[in-house]
Amino acid sequence: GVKDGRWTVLQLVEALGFCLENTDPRTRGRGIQLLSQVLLQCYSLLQEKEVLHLVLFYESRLQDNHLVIPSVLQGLRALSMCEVLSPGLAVSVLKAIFQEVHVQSLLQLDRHTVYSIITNFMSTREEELKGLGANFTFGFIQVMDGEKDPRNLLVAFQIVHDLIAKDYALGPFVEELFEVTSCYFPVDFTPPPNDPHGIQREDLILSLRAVLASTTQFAEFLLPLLIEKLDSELQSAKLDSLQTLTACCAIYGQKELQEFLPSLWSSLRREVFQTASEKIETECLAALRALSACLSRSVLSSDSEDLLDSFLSSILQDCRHHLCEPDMKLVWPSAKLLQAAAGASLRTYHRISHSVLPLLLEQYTKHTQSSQRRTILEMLLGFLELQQKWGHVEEDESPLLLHQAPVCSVVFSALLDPSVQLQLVGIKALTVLGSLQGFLSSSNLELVVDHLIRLALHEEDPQSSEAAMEAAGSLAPTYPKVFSGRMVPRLEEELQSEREESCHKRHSLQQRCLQALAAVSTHTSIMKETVPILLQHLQKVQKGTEAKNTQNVISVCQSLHRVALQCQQDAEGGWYFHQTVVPCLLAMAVQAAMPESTHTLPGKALLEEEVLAAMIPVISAATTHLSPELAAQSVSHVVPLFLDGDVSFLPQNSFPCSFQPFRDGEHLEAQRRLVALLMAFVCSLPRDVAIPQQEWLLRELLALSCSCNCPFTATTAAKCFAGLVNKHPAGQQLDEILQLAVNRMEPSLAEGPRRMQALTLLLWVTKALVLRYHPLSSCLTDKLLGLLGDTELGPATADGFSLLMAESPDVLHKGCHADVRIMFRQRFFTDNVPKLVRGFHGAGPDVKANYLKGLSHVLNYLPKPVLVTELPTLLSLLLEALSCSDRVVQLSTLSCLHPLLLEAPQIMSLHVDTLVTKFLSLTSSPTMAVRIAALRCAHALTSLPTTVLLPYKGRVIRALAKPLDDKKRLVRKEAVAARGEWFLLGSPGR
Amino acid sequence: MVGPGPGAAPLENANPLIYRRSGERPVTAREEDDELPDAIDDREIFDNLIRSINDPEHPLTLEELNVVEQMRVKVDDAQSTVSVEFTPTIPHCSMATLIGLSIKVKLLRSLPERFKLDVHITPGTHASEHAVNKQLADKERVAAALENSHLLEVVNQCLSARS
Repeated sequence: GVKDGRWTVLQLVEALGFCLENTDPRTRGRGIQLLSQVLLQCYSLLQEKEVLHLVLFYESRLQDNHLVIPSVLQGLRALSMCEVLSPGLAVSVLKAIFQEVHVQSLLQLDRHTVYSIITNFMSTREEELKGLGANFTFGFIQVMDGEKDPRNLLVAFQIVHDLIAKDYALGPFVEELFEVTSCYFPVDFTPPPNDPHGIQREDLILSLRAVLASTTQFAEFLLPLLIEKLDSELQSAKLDSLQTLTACCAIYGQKELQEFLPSLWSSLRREVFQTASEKIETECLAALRALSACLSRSVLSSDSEDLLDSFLSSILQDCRHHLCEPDMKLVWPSAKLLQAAAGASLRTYHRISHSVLPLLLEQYTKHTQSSQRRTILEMLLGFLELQQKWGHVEEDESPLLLHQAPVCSVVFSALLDPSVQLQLVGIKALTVLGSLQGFLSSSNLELVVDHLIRLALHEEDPQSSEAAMEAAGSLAPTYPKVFSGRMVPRLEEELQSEREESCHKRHSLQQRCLQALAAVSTHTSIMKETVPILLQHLQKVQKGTEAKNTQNVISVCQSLHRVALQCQQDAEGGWYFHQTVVPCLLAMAVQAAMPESTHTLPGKALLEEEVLAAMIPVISAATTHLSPELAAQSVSHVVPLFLDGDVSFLPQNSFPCSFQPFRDGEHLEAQRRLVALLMAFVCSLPRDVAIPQQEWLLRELLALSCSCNCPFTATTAAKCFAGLVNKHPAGQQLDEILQLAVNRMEPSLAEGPRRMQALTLLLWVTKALVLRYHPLSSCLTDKLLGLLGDTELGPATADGFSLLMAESPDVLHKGCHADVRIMFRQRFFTDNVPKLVRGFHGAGPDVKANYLKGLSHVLNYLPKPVLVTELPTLLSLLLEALSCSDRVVQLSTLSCLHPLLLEAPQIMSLHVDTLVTKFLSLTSSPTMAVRIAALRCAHALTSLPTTVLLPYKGRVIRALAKPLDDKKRLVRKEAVAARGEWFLLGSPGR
Repeated sequence: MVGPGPGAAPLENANPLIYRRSGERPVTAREEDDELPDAIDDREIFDNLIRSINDPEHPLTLEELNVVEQMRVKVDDAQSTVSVEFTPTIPHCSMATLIGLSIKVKLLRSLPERFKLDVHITPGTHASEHAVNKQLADKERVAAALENSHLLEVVNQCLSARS
């Protein structure tokens, strides 16, 4: 009634009068409860006058019987949300609460109500509350003192944070306020299982940290506390202290830190020197960086001593000498501490590297062993990388610039060292030096390029050679002239040279040249020089007659692919590449596919499946990033080439006869294979590029995929069809073409010589539709499920489920703009797994394995978190699958169970008996991979609760003795790991 | 947790020499072939069994402290014998017996029963070399040591996988 205005609150109070004044506290309580409930619903409608009276009434009730208090607080909470509360009332309510109520003796919910009242007033009546001065702070301290419930603590911490952040007067109560909050540090709270409130330990830690690190006023109390906890034995306390320290450094200055710097430094140093935990080390270094940054930030008054300087001096004093012992344990911890401090600011960097750089350079010459030199150079590299962070070297007298010559000579000497490890660090250092603008002089730069060429081409170790190529690639955009003028010609010369005596050596040198040419093409101007070299070389090798011909052609394609990936993002470079490479590749392929080629056998290398497969990614990568206009221009050439045999846009287009890949005829077999190149192009186009004569093209592809006898061609045509269908806009046209496809497939699937081709087409079309959630996909999937029961096609269909779920490398993936919904795997799982399970139960014994295999493929590709939640329904089937004799099923089942053992030990514990038995029996499978997987699972079993496992300990240890003597090393390795872990079960010290 | 906190006895050798870990053994095509048998060799024993054992007092492995080296592991698969020499970091290292015991236990747990084991200190590298070797060779004393739950705890810690 009050809500819609038919009653006033006054009338309600009068009506309740009897209750409210009743002498029985229970009745009074009920009366007030009702009133409070009403107020909570309609506090926004109250008049100022009414509020005044209600407030006075409720305040007086605070002295009432304890049974009544909860309802009174509810009422006050309602009133605290009123906008029309007159000035002064907020203060008086709070005063009354502080005075009359002993908050910590109330129940959790009622305490929460008090916090809410305070929060409400703080957000709307800030000025009034500040009028209370420090009394408000003191009142609140009393309210929260002793709070234990995590839900309330979160609110209370928020209030304290606001008190500080909004600048309420703390008066003499700073220490009390600190005490009342810091007593929770470090937070030790484990949420109870099935906690409905979802408060995590991390929430409390973060909100407490926000309070503690919010003011410099706490510093004198907080810093000793942090040091104390840092010195404790508890890992979590150390971590929390370090993170809190780091947070504090954001607002502290010299004044706050001064007194505590020596103890902070000695604690941090001790932790980094001694800890076994990487996490703690990381946090220590972060804290040291924050401290140094904080000190560098502070503005100095003229008379005070520079704390930063003395702080860094003590760091240098404690760490510097360890750098001279590159074999000793403390060398790295010391280097990391120094680098952390140097990473704080430009000032700290200068101060530290001024002292450390000369030392490291000197140590490098003093130590001659490669391993020691490597450690020293790695440390040096750390400092060089910091210089990178601080930007240009030229502007100031940076310590690095002072040592330019020795730094360069140290790095160059590392490149000449026989130790590969040292070379690798040297190459990294070179990359960093190169990225420092203006550091390398032009003569040094030429030396760098020469070194890189030598390492890339002639260093025997592939790691070094690869690193050198990477380095060339990353430096080339900064110095394109040097690389195109010095490196590219050398590579070209080496590529064409015939002088190497042995064939094998020449081959490997050529490989290196091809890789290096690709690696260095990271700048458009360089790429425009390397691409013609690569194409020319391709032209040459494809005509060759060497045995390694195929491999040579593939290598060139791989290099072209790499260049394509490097230049896709750049519009100009990408278009140049596309325009140059795609027609050239097509022309060579068409030439090779001509039936009466002048050269008889050679040239056919280009038509081999592996070679075509290597050309696909080149064309695809050259196409995916084209702008729609340029893509449209290109598509208007390529599609007519395949449909009409229009060769006019190809370079060297005088062919002896016409190109008609879709025409029937024995002699056109070779031409039909080039559909692979069409697929690479047309399936990689952006989705909004219209494909001319698309319907005709689709029909041709469909016909080819169903009728061709060559599996490669048929599969490629099916993939191309699927790739186009996936991007085809929905509508009548799409429905028609799909209907056509279904009509073609069905009879071939049922019987005849081309059942496999029809199945392949079905699989690819299904995949295309499943990815885009097309309604027809479920109908096609059902067909596949039906085929699992087919004795002839069943096994192939089961394998096909892996094709449906996997990422396909050349078509139907995100990279080539396919329509892929992110949750398609989950959706496929939910829609089809129940059917698979039903099918399995209903199937005959000879085809049961097909269902299991299909299922295991689906499960294998499912994200693990989803798998874990879906587990209970499937577990019994998986356990049954362990007994299946098909090793693909065994393997995939084991690989499904492995993560479940680690992530859902509780559920798995229920089946421990079956699991132990099956795993142990699979450890003697004839297939090595199964034995390995079974042993891994046996190992993972140890993450189940120990009490569940102990009854099996003896048996497992005895059974695992046998694989210790397995004939295969890889199996023995797993057996050792698993058995060792089982020995530790239930044993002290685990 | 290994390593003393404040108040615990200081480490005997706080800043020991450390050595780089050797890389993982590359898997060869032969090893991946289901049919061909691979013999147990020195490197396998060193890789799978010995090198990852933790030192009782440093958060480092025996390999990083150079207490064990691959060249001091000798295996004869046909004769079923294994011999491991270890080198304490300092000649008076009080942990020598414990280290030897850890190696011995690891071998016992990880090798087929047919093997005869011999674990001893590299000659000339420890003050009480003979006493330690004798203890390690005595089957009954090894068994008795493992009955002691405190010793077993330390041994197990040395053998636990690093977190």
